[in-house]
Amino acid sequence: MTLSHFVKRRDIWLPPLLAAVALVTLWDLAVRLGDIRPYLVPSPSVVAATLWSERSVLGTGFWLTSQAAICGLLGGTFLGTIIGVVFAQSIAVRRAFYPYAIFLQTVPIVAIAPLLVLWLGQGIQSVIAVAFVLSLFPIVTNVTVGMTSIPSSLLDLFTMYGANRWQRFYKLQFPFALAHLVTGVRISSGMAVIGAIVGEFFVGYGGRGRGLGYLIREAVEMNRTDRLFAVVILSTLLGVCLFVLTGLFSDKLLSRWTMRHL
Amino acid sequence: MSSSFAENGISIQDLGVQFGSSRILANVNLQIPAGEFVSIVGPSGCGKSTLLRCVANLMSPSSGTVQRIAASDEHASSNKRNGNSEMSFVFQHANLLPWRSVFGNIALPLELAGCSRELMRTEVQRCRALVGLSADDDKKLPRMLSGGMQMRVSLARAIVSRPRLMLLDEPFGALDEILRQQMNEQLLQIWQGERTTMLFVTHNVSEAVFLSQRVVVLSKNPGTVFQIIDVPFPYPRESALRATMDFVRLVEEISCRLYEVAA
Repeated sequence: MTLSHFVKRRDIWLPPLLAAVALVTLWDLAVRLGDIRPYLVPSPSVVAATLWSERSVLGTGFWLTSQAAICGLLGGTFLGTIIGVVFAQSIAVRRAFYPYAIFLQTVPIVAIAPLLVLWLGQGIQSVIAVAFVLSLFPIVTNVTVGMTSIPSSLLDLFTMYGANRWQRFYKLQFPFALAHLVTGVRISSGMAVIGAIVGEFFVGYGGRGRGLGYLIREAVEMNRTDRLFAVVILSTLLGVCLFVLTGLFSDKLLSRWTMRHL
Repeated sequence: MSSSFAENGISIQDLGVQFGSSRILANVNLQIPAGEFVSIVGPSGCGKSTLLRCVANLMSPSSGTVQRIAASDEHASSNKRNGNSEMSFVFQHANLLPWRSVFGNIALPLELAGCSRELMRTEVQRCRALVGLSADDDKKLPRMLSGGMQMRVSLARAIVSRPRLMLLDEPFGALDEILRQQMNEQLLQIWQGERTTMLFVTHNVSEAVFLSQRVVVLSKNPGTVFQIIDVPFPYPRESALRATMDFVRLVEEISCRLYEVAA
């Protein structure tokens, strides 16, 4: 779906917009009428004011975190695809290495993030590394599944015409797995944002500014709930942006990949 | 190459296929001279498709042998240059690559053989006409086509490499009756034009009788040749043949055999 098409589809964007308006109104009313203390829940107007008055710090944070998340996602996509392709080559390889790939998914990221910082030092490279580790697994699984779930009749077809290993990979397996790869990237786009924010809990960007993760920690320490709310909103916005971006990219790429006739 | 069938057709001898303890096929013997149109009918689960896969060399039998048309060495190397293949296989569904256009799908066998773009264009054009597709369809994607059109593309792909043997596994099973009859007539035209050996698996007796020179009835548990029935009608066969008394009677007779083996 192109952007202009999306704008025209009022039935898609209007309901969530109305829901947001309703929620914010409810939130505002609750804070005003319920006498909730501002350090617990600040009113929407206060959060909006903070977003505006601290736009420079918050904007820099948004920019730094999105850079790290996108770099981590790209790295994860690249290496994850290669690993998935290798995994798909033989059952033995899969059996040998898959448990260690699952390790990536199950290890608590807050536990290895400090380790990555220790190895890679202060700076954006460590944040990227954490985003990368989190975004790797969905790509690996999806590419592996895509490459190994090709209908046997298509494989038979290539066998009939004497396709060599390279032709089989390049003309059948990889194009077939592309749809799965894109699904993996969409899942990983959220993981990369989480990874970048967790990474920033442990490491700064030196003189270049502070990422969203660092700002969250700072806001908590300073008891600035309004700022915390502002950063949370921006983090969510970043996740949604990346998801929509990968979505547009995948729709464009996969316009011909509909498997309806298979 | 001792037997003459090995040079001129297919010779299936004492073929058996076993998966674990269950015997799918046993003692299948069948001789098919080059250029003949043979159909295989049988109750579902009798191993029709398995037999076809053995002939296609997509699986190896547990016992017995399949000898196929063997081109001489000289012939084989020129075949490779022209993108000609020994066999082609038409599957139960169209089995197209969804990301490839109609042209790309039809040309696939030639592309895998490393043929020139020029040759691909002329050959695709030839086959398109034979199956009733037009040049306007070239750029379309499979998902834009109806089931019948997809099957036409699949058939064009199967003849683009000018195979000497075509193996068809219930290719028209999913089509409606009118379309099936149209495709049957087109397939006969292709067969008469290309002088290909045809081995056609179906569960539709009328289709088998209309198309072939001989109908092989398989029995099941394990699958083996129960009877081979000659179809005496001369070619070219027209649609009107289906309404003749002789045709109906032969279909009835073979259907009776099928009831016998299914019981």
